[in-house]
Amino acid sequence: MIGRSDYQLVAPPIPDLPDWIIQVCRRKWPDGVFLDANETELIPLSSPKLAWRPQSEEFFIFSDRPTAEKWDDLGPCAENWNRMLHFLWQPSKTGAPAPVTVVIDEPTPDIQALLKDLQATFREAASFAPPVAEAA
Amino acid sequence: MIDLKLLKQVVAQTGRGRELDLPGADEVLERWREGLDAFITYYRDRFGETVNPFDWWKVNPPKARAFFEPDTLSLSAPMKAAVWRILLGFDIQKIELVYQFSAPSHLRVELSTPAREEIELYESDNPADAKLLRHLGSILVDGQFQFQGYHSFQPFPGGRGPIDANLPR
Repeated sequence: MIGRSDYQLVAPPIPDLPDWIIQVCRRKWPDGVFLDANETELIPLSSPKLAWRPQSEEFFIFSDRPTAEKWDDLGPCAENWNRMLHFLWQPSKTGAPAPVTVVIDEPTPDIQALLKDLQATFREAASFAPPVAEAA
Repeated sequence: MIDLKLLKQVVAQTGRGRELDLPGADEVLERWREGLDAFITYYRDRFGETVNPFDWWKVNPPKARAFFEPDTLSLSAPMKAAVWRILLGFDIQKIELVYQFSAPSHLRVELSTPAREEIELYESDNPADAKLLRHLGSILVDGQFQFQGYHSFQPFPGGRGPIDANLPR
């Protein structure tokens, strides 16, 4: 990931965080595809198949299938600039907020808006997290 | 037919089945089972697919926990089907709720496939179906609020029902 930038977001301690991320990204990229870091199958963000799999701790979201399919050959380049997001997170076992790393190419206004939407969505998701007093 | 023992075990694993700690638990459980059977029949009749709610545990425990929430188990068959579709990623296009004390109520939910190819309509006159609303997730897109997803409230860490242990698989 040389040349790319890491951004840290903070998520509530919920076990289905990737679902929330996928739904936000699907609005940005309706033809986007999902790839678990440990798998090879590209799954459309619009596919119910995404529901029938475990929550991934590391995954990629591409803007569209052709970009994903050519990624290994091209690597980060002008053609696919800012068309892939790399997410890493771990479910909180203690009830503490969980850091979420998002790797991007460049924080253009579009990408910054997406990061802002993600962080705002995580705040919405917090209402499903365990009560604070018991989570410490 | 839904296995009563398995249903009780799964509800316990959600960490939210406190109804079963109270008197009348057997009746509640039986009602939930009947509701699940009715849902499976409804779903098969409407979509031509036989679903097994317990399958969620095998692949996606957070969605299992959401589907086996007591609130979900109390929903009518059409609204359970709506929840199922939302768990699959369907978009919530429109919700209309009419509720008035001692008067007929009505809940209408419109969903669309993620590709927005068609609209599905779900309706109910059971006021208890409004419980569906409190589990809807919300996301921000370009700063705009949208309902999306259906979720369980997470129990206390270390409390009853660790989600990754002793689940039926």
